[in-house]
Amino acid sequence: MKLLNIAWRNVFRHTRRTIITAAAISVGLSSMIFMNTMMNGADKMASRNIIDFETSHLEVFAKDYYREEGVFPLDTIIENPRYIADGIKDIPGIKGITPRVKFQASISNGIDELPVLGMGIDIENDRRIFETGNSVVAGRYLQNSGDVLIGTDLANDMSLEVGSYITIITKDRNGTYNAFDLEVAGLLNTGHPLFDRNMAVIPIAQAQELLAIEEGVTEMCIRAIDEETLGPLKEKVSEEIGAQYEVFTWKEMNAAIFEISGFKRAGQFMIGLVVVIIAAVGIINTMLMAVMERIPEIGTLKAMGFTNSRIVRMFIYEGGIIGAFGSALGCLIGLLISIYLVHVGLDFSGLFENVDIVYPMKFIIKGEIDYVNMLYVFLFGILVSVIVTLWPVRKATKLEPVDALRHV
Amino acid sequence: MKTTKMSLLMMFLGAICASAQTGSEILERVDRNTVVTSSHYDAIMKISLGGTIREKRFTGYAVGKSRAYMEFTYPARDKGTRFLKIDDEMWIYMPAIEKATKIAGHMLRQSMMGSDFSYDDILENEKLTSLYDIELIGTDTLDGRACFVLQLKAKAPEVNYYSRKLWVDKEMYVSMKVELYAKSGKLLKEVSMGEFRRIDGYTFPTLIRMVNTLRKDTYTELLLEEVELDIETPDRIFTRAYLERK
Repeated sequence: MKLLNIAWRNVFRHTRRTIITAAAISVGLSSMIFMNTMMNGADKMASRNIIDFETSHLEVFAKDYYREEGVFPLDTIIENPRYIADGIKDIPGIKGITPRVKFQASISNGIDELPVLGMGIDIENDRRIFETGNSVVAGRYLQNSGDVLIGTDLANDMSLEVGSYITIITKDRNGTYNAFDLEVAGLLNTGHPLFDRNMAVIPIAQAQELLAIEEGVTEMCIRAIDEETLGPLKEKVSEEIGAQYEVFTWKEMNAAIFEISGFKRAGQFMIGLVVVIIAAVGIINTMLMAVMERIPEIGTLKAMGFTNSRIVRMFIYEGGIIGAFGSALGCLIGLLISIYLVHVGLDFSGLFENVDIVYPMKFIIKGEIDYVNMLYVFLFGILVSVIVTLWPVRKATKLEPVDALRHV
Repeated sequence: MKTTKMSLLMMFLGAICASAQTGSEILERVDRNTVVTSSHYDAIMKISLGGTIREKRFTGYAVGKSRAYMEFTYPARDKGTRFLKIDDEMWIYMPAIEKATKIAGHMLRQSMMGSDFSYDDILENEKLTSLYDIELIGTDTLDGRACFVLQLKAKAPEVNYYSRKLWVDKEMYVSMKVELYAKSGKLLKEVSMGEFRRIDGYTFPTLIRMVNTLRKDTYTELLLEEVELDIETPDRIFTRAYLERK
């Protein structure tokens, strides 16, 4: 206890040194927290975009439909969506089911033609489980045959506005060209790049007519009540509808994106490591100076009968106290930055303006705070400070008191 | 005087015969008149986009309607780009990639070399008479020439264009203009043929103009020069190996 007291007083006897050391630690730690908040935020946004707009939690396809990303075959579709909807509607844990038809198409504004992903949606059901209906920023949601929703970015690219007419062209199931004139009913701003710059959303009946697929749909989207336990639900759905269909969770379908995510985590770890090393070097440096300066002091203590272990312990306490101050400061700064990121976010859009990115989000990233991680960062700061104190102190205690006293 | 009478009679008979012709008979005659067994040509492709015209040149071989080979020679950035078509399949070879890629699925809808032609348009090789129900719906005058107007409707669902309208020159028996329609009835493309030349008993259009009606201010013209018909075409031209040759 006495040692802790001495250490405490020592820390405040050298205010400037303490501040410099603590600042070095806090800079390192706040960068770690900043990184973590950004990465979590990016992941969360991507997941939300996928679930709320693209796939919901589970998707049912006809067997062999889902061959590769970005291919939408019309030869293996769900011919009888009602059968699936009726079959699984009583399974507990399902919040909603909606059919969708995805197809490759082009749209023309009378001047240019651009490739898009066409999507037919069930006007009523779709908005129960997706956010698409809540993302109409101009005009209105789909109402009648002949309505189309397009993203704001696509509208800008093709100089379209609410009320403009476009032609959608595709080849139907038989390979015959088909085209409809559509009126832009509303503009979507979803935050999901696929929807905002690359998609034309039309009523499902119209998509079915366009593609000559009768009652067929390409997929059935299922929203679960509990998003954490999708595995068992998937099993149940799969059992109910039989082997001519396949069920995937949103994570399985976006494995590629989460691989990127894993890769990104590795990258984050490397950057984190560099930040840690820089912070640790700063801490070692200041601690080393602090100890070297005080070698005569160590000599005095030894001459007064302090044992080596008590001296080491005293310095460990000092390192720990400074580390705790630095870490607390670092976490506080990190938290403040994180709160800013959660509410305002960072705008990377300028950086990626004309780049096609597969990652399903826009580049205004909003942060997501991970408090557990912050606790680890705090403890890490203290631990590093203590460890880096050990080495110079142990070296100093090996000196004879006389030599230590003479040391300048 | 007698000859005049005779020729008048002939003309009269001819007119009767013409009116008695059915749509498919007219088309059969067009096919006999224009479908060549083999050909070799140099072509200029003029792509007009919003007032500016880009010119490309290529040289091509074709056997019947089923096999074709094209190699671009101008401009420099397209030089060496080759296409091979065998029946329903098509490959593109680009010198930068050094490997032939099959054009399939939705790529077929896309524009070929930035022109108004899609790969689908190039791939077309089945006889119209076997794909469509043909009806003679009237006559019309096009560029001062009298034409039959034929309405074509798909017999089976598996066709690119659900319906077509054809203008056939009454005298030369060649199609002058084709309109291609989507299933919904929307006009997608207009093709017109001109500058017909008599070569080896065929009447061959040397100017083909394609307009994608869904785009504004664009058209593509194909000018065929140095046309040789019914020539010996070595089979090796229509192989992947020849396509990918160094």
